Amino acid sequence: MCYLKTFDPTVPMTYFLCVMSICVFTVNPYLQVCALTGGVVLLVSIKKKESLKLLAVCALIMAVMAVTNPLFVHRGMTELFYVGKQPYTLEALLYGLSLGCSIASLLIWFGVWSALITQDEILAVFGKRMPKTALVISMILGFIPKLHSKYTRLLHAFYAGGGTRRKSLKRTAMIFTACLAYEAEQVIDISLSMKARGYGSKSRTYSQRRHFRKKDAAALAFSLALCITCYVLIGSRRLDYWYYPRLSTQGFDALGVGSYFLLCLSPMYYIIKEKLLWRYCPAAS
Amino acid sequence: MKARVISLCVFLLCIPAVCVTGMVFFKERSVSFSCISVVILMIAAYLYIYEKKSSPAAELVIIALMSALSVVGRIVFAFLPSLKPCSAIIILTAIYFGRETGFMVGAFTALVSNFYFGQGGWTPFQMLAWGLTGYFAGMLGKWLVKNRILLLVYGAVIGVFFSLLMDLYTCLWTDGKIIFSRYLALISSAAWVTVTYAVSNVIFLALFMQPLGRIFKRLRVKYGIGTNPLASESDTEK
Amino acid sequence: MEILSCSKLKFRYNGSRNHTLHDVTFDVQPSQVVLVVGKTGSGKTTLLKLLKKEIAPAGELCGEININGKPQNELSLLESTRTLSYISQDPHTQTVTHKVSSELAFGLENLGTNSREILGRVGEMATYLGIEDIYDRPIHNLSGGQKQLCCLCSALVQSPKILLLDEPAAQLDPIGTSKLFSLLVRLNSELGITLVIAEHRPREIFPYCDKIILLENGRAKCYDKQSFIAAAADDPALQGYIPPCTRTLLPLGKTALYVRDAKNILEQTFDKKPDKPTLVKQDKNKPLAFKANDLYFRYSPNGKDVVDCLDVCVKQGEFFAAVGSNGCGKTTMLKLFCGILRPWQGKITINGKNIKAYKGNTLYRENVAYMPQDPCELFVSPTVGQEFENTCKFMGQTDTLDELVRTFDIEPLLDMNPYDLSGGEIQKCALVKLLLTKPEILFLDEPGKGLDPAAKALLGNTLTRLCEQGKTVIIATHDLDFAAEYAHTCALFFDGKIHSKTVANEFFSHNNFYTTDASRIARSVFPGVTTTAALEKAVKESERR
Repeated sequence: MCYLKTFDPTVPMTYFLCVMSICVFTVNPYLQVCALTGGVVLLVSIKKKESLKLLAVCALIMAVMAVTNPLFVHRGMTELFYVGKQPYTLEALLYGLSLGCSIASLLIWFGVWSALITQDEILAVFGKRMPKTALVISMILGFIPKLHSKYTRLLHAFYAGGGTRRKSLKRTAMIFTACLAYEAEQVIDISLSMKARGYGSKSRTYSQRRHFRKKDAAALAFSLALCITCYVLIGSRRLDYWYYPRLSTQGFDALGVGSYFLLCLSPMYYIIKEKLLWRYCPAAS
Repeated sequence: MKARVISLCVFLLCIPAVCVTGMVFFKERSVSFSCISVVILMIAAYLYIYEKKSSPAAELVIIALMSALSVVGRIVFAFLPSLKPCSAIIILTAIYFGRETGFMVGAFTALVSNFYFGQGGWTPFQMLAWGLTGYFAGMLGKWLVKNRILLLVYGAVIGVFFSLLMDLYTCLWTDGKIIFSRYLALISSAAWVTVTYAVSNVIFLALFMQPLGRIFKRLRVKYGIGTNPLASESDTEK
Repeated sequence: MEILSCSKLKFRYNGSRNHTLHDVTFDVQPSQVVLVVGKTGSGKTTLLKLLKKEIAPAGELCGEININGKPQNELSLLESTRTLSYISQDPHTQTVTHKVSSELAFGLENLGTNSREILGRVGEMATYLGIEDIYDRPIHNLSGGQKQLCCLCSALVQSPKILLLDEPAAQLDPIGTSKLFSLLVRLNSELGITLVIAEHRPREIFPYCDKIILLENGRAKCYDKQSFIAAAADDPALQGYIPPCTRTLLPLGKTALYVRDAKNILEQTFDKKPDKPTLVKQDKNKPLAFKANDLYFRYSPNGKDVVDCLDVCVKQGEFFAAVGSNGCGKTTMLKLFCGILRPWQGKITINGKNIKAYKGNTLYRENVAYMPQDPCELFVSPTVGQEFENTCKFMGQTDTLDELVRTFDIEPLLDMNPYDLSGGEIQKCALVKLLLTKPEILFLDEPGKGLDPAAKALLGNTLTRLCEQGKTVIIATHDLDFAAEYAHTCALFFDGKIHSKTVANEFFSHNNFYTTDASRIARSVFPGVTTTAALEKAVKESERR
């Protein structure tokens, strides 16, 4: 098990919200670069080779956004050349790059998210405050393979009745609705089974296999502290940046950029620690 | 009563607070911050209200079954390019089981199907869009069940609405604010997608209307699950 | 003091004129094992459900039900769940969530227990029942037996005092059944949990039960084990409810509850017959109806071969049963045989013609018919009649429909929804649907699964009659008694291959372990006897020592 997965799921979830809420909405290039580097480093170290495709897509998005933005927006003082009668400006180009950067970093961070936050984590987070919602999600995840295998079996019975093998809208719809008809009959039995096990009392809980410990509290406090620092600095206009009419000369605040950079890279601490742990004190050799 | 308090809280306190936060912190992209937070808040509030209500076991099973069905529908109909049966299933469920069930089925369809097709920033928007698809269908249930043409028209209109809402999301992501000309450009470039949404809703509603109606009617008559959309409002309340 | 008692129970379903239960009176002492037997439709399920008020069916109830000395209505939800647990026959409709771990926690979550206690209790129960290995698995991937164990465990974590079980083994294979019942016996003997079990084939649990309640036309008669065996000796209708080993000794006036005792008694009573078993010889001149040569099949390019180098031939008019445990690929094999799935290597010949030579859907017209494990899957239309019409349309003729409906006596079922039919009725309708296509070869997957003995016998006789008319029947089953009773030839399906195909009689008398109870009892005295009916006959007719 990956070290990062040993946290209570609220910790990584809050962490991702902190990182993403800043990287998506800011236009400050320094913060964006931090987010992008952090995301790429994390993604590569968690997903290894699988991440290459996503990275290529992101690079493409950034390039396209950068090149096309000046075609729509003609603000900015530094005119590079003219397309038709409209100027193609450096500022618009860079603004496009910044837009592309925020989209790309969002995609990359969601890539990291999907590696660390799976069905179980989402269920656990819902389960804390909303045990009923978590139950419904769990029931849906149980029904999906049931319905899917029923569909296959009905399809096979359909073949055996001399049915066509060609996929068509009509055929699929017929078998699909038969599938529902079958499962709908079981609704009453399933709800009886729920009642037989005491469903319906007021206070429902959801069993968590992982508890909130000191380690979780520390990590949570660390991310929140860094995040709040950034927010305060953003709120106090120290991290403001603008592209038009001319690129801003300010916007670099060592504390703000530094703490955001730290925030983005902080999971690396655990990843490196785990690597070193296995290299120098291998438990399983 | 409690539901009303929570929804008032959300509308009067949280939403303005979020908008102000957005304006203070992210000048340039305040609109996008506010919009996204508002969407998330609305879903969270709705889920929370539902959570606190006591609901019978059969209702939960129906919500789970229908959400799972529309996720599976997305998989088995994948061979047809860009035709998805999800909205049609959500609409029909909402008509026969009420707007609340409709909203939940819509929201869960979006959330769970993205376990298979990839989570992303679009998840909350999809949850809201499909949730509202079901909610409105549940509200209009009485008329939709009586009139076939109306149902198909509703399907087409809600398909367009769904597409517009998702375009809004794309627009917010790319620009960080709503530039009206860009939004229009996006809508027109995504016109083909909008048309497929509307068309697939109409096709699947026409296909599923009768069989699903029959199955739901059987559930009501034989097992007493669900409400009669044709009965008057006071009857459904019981 | 009794833990459970009913007096003068009377029950009528809403909208029904007749009472399902009249005047049911019985009581259960703590730690007893109570067996509820009776025909399908005698009200076993209704009675069990009435005992637990949360799941009691809607209807008019008179009489008293006392639980732990308290009237049932006065129990709170918490008390009720802590006292009574209910497990139904179909494990598929009892699981609620997507994973075993959350399913086991479900009951405690409902009562608002905190996470730490839930984990502790679930862990304890799972370790006691020995299901740690499936704890983290998705429920969907479990076999029927594992699912039923999971249901049992999730009922037990609430530490109930009484377990109500409604035909818990109806959908399980023999291995799963014996595992389940041995666990139940352990729960009773080690923890003192009271068991109330409704069963129509209580072979495994019969030796352990303390009380037997026979439901007949809504009335209850109570017996203990000895008095029930005595009653069965007089009334042949009751003989189906006692194990084969007990039943075969009835004409001798002796009682045995286990195979070993019955075997000893037989050996003492009769002379050993060393001669070879009398085998039913097959007609060698009949042409081959079905032939599979060197078949290979797997579901994905990198998967394991589910069917692996399989060869088999079946003659015309033969009733062939492939037996094997659950999940070994019998269903896949049948689907290959009738052309639903296609092997990646090998050749299938049907009526002397390569299966690939049947163009379009001609294979399923007057050649081959397939019945899935769940016959309901054949019915897609809202009523049975409409489904038949569709089949007739497919065949382009309707002449045989009326005749078949008359022979199978299903006239009143035509306007019904297939899901409203009982197991036996849907089985009959499914057979009619298959016969409408006038098949030469019928493939049936687990016929008789979940059927009561009467319906199973009817099905077996129908299939035998079809064979006499020259049709070929090929079934895949784990029900050894059914195979021994009706099939002409048998073979073991294992490791993707069909092993040792031979005459049924020889197959079962040759097998040492995987065989019927009757064969185990009879092997030293009456070699070649493999079915309970044949053994009873032999016991009656042979000379005693």
